[in-house]
Amino acid sequence: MPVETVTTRPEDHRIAWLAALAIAIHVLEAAIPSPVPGLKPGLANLVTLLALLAFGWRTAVWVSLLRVLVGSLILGSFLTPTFMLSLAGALASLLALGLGRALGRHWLGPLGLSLLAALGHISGQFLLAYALFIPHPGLWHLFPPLLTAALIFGILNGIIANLALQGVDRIGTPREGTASRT
Amino acid sequence: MNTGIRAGDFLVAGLALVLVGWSYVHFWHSEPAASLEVWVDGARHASLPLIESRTLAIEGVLGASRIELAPGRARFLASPCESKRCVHTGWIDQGGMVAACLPNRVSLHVQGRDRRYDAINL
Amino acid sequence: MTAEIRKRLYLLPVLIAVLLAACQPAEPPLIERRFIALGTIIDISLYGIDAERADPVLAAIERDFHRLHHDWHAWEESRLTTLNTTLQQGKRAPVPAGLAAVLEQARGLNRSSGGLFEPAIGGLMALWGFHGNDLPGKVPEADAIAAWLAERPRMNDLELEGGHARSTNPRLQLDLGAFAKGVAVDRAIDRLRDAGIGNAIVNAGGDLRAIGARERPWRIGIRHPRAPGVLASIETQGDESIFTSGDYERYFEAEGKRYHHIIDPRNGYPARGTASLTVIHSEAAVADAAATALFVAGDAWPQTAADMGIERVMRVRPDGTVELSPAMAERIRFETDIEPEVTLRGLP
Repeated sequence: MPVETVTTRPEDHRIAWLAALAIAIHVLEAAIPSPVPGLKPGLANLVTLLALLAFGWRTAVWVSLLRVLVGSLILGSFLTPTFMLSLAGALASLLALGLGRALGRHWLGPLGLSLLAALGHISGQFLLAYALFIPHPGLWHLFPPLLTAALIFGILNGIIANLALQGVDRIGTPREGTASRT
Repeated sequence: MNTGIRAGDFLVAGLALVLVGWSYVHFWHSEPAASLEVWVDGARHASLPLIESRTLAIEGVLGASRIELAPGRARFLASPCESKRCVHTGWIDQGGMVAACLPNRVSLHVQGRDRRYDAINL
Repeated sequence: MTAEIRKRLYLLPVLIAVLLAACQPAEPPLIERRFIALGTIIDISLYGIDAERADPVLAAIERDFHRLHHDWHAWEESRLTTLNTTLQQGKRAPVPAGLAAVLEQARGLNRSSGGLFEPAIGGLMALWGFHGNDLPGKVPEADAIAAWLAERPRMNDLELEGGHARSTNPRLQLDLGAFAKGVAVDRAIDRLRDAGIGNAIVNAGGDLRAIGARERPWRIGIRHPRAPGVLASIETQGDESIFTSGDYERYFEAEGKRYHHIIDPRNGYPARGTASLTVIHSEAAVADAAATALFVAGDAWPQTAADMGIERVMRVRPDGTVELSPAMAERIRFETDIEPEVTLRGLP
């Protein structure tokens, strides 16, 4: 029987590690009780953002989608409303990041990107929740406080991302395609 | 590297602030909680928010009508009139709906959240 | 660049404050007056007029309503009860011009409804116990109803001539219960128009006439006959009266059966087969009489509607199913979570 060897590139390792980190955070955040459904610090998003800034768009998309998929499998919420909300949030957040990226990387820093991602995330989740699950106008009463939370956590995550990247800068910038994991 | 605060960050933060402020105005302010107007003998007696559950007595021309308030709705619990039509009316919960004890001259009027109806055909 | 933007940032709170102020909905210039007359709550809403101009008209309307209440009361001492007493004695009774015009209009609607709207029904209403502030508790003896039916008084038994009235049927007893509200609402609207007020609702216990609009069309909810809340809504256009007759308005239960106040003059018992019937028509008096007549007509309502010149009708049956005339279907919007089963019934 011929043995097929799967060759992995460094990029795949990177995605796997980052996704593992994001999944761990995702599961932890799910375990933390929240006063308002949907209110989370969004640290898992932070991983996506760092992946984008450090390694580029492709890595970020993989990390984000893997997090949602595997995270839901671990939590047993695959294909449940929770999963769909998670996916909607991730996709909207990626869309916002893509838009932010398109504006130009010299003009928009991690803080702005983080904010865009956070606001996109909650908006996407809300639209889906309203369209599919709770088409009741009362749902929108929850939107302003969640948007506020997204604003605060978006800024905090942006600051963390800045600090983290400055740290990486000091150690040495990983270059896309050449960086290797040890 | 992409670190540091950029011009666009301020712009995004500013727009985000405006968005959050707007969301409160849009989703909270335009829809104040429903309230109940209590009229006694042709005059406005009280305007009460329909937020929490409680009961209270309203003094009419015959005696006290007991009314119950609950989130978003209200009803007559007891009335000194004979027919008890006001009590039979049951809960009223839509802006423009009315429950009334005419002998006692006490009427309850739900003031709608955004006043969906200008009047209710009964 | 960054420093400049940082400077600009101080402007943000100002910008937000301006936006918040701009979004603040201005208080709509709505004037409302509320009083009790004709055994119900009268609610008048006016749009786009200042209080000083509205006050004298509203006061006049309130006086009108109170006067009609005293003139037309079906069982308390009123001009109408005096007229009834004289008529039942077989005597010629003087009728004031205003009342004569109303009786003529009622007679016309009685004819066009094929007798289903019957103001001569007062004796039967009293027999059922609906002439009183309290609800009756028992069904009248079948013999008593049969006796009334044997001599069944009709509006045609009333002779109106030269300011006098005379009845050829001693059982004739006028009851304007299905009509007075409509007439009073029409008079109120006339008064408002005379005063140059073109945007208003005159609402007499849920039956109403709306003219003009507010910043949007007037929006009227129609009560669900079997559940709390609103079944459907209509946005009025121009000048329209919306009247509903329902079996839930005044009723009592005896031996598990509901007996309501809309009595069929053909058999003497509450009309069956309809829970509520709503009509739209320009004149409130016509709408009022038609709502009653079509309720009594039961399954045959499309014919009665055509005879009375009513195009917009909604009938809710006791099982919750809905029948609509085609012209009504264009206007109505259901507000329940689950849309009821709807049948269109064309008018002949």
